[in-house]
Amino acid sequence: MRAFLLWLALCISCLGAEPELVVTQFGTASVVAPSAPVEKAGWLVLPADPSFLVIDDGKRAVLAPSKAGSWWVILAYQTEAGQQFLVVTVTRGKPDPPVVPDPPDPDPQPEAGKRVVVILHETEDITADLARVFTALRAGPAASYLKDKGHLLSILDDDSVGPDGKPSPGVVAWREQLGGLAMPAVLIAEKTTAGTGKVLAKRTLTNGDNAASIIESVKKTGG
Amino acid sequence: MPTKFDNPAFVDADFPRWSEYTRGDNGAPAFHRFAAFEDTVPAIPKADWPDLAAKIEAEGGGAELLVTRIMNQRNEGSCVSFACSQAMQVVLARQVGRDAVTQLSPISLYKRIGSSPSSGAMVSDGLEEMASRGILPLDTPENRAKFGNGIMPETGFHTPFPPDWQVTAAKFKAVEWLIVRSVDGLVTALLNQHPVVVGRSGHSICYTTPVYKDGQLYAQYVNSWGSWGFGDAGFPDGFGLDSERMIRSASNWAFALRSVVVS
Repeated sequence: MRAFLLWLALCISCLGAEPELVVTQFGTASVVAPSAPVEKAGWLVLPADPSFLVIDDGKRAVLAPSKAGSWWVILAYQTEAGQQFLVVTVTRGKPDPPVVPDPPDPDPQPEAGKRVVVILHETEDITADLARVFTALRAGPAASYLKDKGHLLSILDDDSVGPDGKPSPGVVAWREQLGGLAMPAVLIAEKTTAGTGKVLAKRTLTNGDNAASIIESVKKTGG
Repeated sequence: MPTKFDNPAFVDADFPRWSEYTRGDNGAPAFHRFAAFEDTVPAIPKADWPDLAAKIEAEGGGAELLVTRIMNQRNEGSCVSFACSQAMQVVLARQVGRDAVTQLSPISLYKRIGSSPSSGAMVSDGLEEMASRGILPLDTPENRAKFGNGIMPETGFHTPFPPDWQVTAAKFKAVEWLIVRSVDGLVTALLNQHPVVVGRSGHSICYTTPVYKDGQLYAQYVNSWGSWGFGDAGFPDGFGLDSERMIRSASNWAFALRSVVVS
């Protein structure tokens, strides 16, 4: 049989009909086989890919790429004239489209509840503009909103001290929650029966902020 | 609707002419060791004052909105301790909210800075004492529930201190303040909505808000004479106005209170 194949190959070779690699696609697998029998065939896939399945029965190879892409499949076979090579490109479909996450809910509805709102500032932050914001949060519509909803607002100097003259532990804890955020800043946390829960939002106050914009931030957290 | 300027008696009030008056401000100290507002906070240019005051008015008011009680010193010369207590309550209202303010007992401060019911005191002494030992809560049902016997009435120089009063008073101490020595410094402090305790005409009051009328500057203050003055901030009375002339005399030695103890 082998002799026959060799003879056949030689015949083809002599006829100038060198074998070609024929690629047949079956689903995601490709079957690569020479158009004519070859002897001592070996397969090489480039670039090397451990996930690239090759089933070789000596006559053909089943190539099953695990992902989209292109590879060179090299068939090396022996003839009397020496070692020959055939190269074919195997491509599996189009590249997988990028995974697109579900679009975010344009207006996520946070869980409604009471909030602890803390504004931390440095002493020198107090300007006429910021002072008006603070007073508006304490009197008028913004204050009424906070009161009606049961929210708790504290406006604290970041270096506040307690009765013992040491830094107020509560203020220190809030300052740590800033995580490097510049002051003046507002932090909004869950209000729990035990006190304060998870911080839901925090941001630095800007010159454009007013009582209404701070209330809006509270509302966005469900407050 | 009546305005603050409707009754001229409450503009540049001549305090000694009023029946409520008991001389209580004993003047400015010859020496002091406190930091000056003018050396610490950049003065807001005078040209900007009217615009900033108009913004305060447009938003419904300034620090007077943080007043939670009109106090009444009655016939004791304790105005300094009343003005100091009022300033502390204003700052407390900003920190914790109007509803959460602990009402304070001015007499608990005056007992330490005055020598008799009518001796009066110096504003500087009031500041030093409220910063070092603090002020006790007022005797109210809420404060009794919260502080037990660590409370005192509003007036009554001879009322004894409760036991261990210092522990409770330490919760109501001034932490940051600056001495005001000029009109520029005083108005800057008011535009930044820091209450300013001043003394003038032998009486001490708490300035809260700069106000303009017909291009003229005034400082609104909260007095400690009960139902005296014009109404504002939800109160039927309690407030007065000082023109720039009076502000100038009051700014000789005053202090702006910026923060208090956080319990």
